[in-house]
Amino acid sequence: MERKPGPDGPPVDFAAFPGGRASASGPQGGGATSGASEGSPAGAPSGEAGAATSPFGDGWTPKAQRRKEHVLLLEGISVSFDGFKALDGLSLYLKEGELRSVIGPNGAGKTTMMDVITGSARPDSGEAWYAGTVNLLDKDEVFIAQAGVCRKFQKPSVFETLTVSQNLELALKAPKTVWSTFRARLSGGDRDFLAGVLDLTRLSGEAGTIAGALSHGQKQWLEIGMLLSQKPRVLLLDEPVAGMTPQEIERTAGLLESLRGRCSVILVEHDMEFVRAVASGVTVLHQGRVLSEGTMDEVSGDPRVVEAYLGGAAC
Amino acid sequence: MNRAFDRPTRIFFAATALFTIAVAAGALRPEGSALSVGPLTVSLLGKYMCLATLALSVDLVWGYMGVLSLGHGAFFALGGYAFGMYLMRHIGSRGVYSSQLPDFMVSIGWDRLPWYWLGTDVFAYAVLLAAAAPALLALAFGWTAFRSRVSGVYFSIISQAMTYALMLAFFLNSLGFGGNNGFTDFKEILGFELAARSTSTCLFLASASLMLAFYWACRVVAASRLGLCARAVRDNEERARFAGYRVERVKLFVFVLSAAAAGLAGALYVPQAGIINPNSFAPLFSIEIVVCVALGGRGRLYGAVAGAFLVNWLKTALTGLMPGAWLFVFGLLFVAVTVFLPDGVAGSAERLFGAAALRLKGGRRGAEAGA
Ligand SMILES: Nc1ncnc2c1ncn2[C@@H]1O[C@H](COP(=O)(O)OP(=O)(O)OP(=O)(O)O)[C@@H](O)[C@H]1O
Ligand SMILES: [Mg+2]
Repeated sequence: MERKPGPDGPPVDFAAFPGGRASASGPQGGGATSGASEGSPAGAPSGEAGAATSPFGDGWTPKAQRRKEHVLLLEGISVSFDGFKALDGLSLYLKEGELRSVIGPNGAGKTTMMDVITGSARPDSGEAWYAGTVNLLDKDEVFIAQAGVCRKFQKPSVFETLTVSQNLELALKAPKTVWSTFRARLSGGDRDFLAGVLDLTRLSGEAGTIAGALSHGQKQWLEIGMLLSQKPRVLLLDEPVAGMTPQEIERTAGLLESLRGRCSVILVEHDMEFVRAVASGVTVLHQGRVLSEGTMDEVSGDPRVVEAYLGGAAC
Repeated sequence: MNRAFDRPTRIFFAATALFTIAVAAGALRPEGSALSVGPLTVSLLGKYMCLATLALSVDLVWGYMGVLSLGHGAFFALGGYAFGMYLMRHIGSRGVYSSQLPDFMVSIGWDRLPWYWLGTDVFAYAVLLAAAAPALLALAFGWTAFRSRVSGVYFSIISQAMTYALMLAFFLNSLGFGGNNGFTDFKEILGFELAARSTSTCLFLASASLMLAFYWACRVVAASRLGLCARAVRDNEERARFAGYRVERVKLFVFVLSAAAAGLAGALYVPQAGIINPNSFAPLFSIEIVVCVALGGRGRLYGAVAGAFLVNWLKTALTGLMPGAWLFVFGLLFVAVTVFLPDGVAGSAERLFGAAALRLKGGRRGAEAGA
């Protein structure tokens, strides 16, 4: 990817994220091409995807249309663990550039939903599409990550013995085969880009620090920074502000704000103040289903939501 | 390659080169004169160099990537057997039965070489085989294990089972590798008498060169982004996968590289030891190497080399003094390292020096602030 931020432009041109896909590596292996790198989401649906699911085979059905209009689409997803339904016919639609908060009591299935999207859990039924053409259900974690769906884990996970900048360098979007990783060198453009990410995550002063020595909040930021280095198209954040100080939470809200419109975000959070602060569409999950959807004020006024939270708190 | 050839590496290379030259020079001096090094000592040091190479190969997969192989001795032994075939072929008709066939084949009534012995009289092919056979084994084993995401202690256990199974197989006469006697009574290598002093000196030099060459290769890998990725896999495999790396392939690459180096080390070890038998597949041997790395300090290549020299020197010394005591001492060493030196000798030394350096720097900064 040869794209140097101009001196007068923003330090990190996040608007270039989706564009970055096309020139950078396609996911390796199998010669399969990512649908994500085939034209804009507004382009015609690829023959492969359209033919596979459209009963008419003409590439235009309401379903195909929905798929085209959303960067991420989950429909009727069910996941069960030994008979227990963690997800029960979950549907979720995410538009390009949208920020969506997903809330719900403990055990609602929020993390499981992310597992499905990122390829680490296989649902019993349902459909999951990314960028209109990538069937997430038959791709693995690595393919999905390379295609631009990047995930922050609920438990902060960074490479503890590496420095902050090494963490970011590893995450950097690049061809990731063994050989190209061996040959990889940071270009000037890469360095500028990583400096921008460091800046954005307020870790500029910690570039040389071993990640294990960072504070809890800084680790969370570093992990977000790693996702940004991957130049994501869809960002999945599982409880990014857990364990942060109020000040850190405020800064994180600012960070999310600066991403708005540049990539699509699914934000899973328990911190209602934070969800309110980032002002987004809210989806409430409960027992593996969507209970309510709307703005924060709408859902918090929904008696079913109140009931679910009180019921959750009671046990 | 500046990043690969950093300061500790330069110091290590300089020290090793000096040591090697001193030993070789000593070996050239007439025996009994000052500073002369006897042929037995030269061979011993040559063997230590091979074991140090093996320790490096373990350090590469364990220290950097967190994959603890308790069966790395198998790769070493396999390389040793591959090159041992070459040495056996070049005994020629000087064996007990004066046959062109190796003695053990005559004694079990074989009248010609099995197919897998073909071409092993060619030096280059034997060397290639010594690297390729372990590499292929590592490829098959690693592919199976890593693909099904076997890791941690489970991987260690199956790697141990692998070397044990191979040991049992090599005990069989019908396998065509000499059964429990293995290969011995070698006469020459590349036309040079193995008994000659110059030959043992050359073998020592070759062993030291192999060790340094592999050390350098390890440094190049470690300093590359792939090396970072290996350490990332050690820290958090899941995160590495979600960062877009095919973790299995990274592991497989490093594992195979390490096995090939271990095989070459084994190939050089055998002419200096004068023998190879199925006991080199014994799990204990693999564990000894892991202890070498742990004692030296894993994740630091020079630590692995130091550990290999230390442990094996101790082993040689003890076996001379009190045969049978080694196992007990080894057990104690194992426990002591685990409890008292989790970072090994090198780690403790680094901490000592690091603390001293920090105090120095801190003092200086304090003085500046005061001024
Ligand atoms: N691997 C698994 N095996 C069995 N049950 C599981 C597994 N993973 C999740 N579950 C169950 O599925 C349900 C949903 O879990 P999930 O982690 O998705 O909830 P969550 O909404 O993320 O909760 P939290 O807010 O506590 O993080 C829980 O009841 C959990 O116990
Ligand atoms: Mg969760």
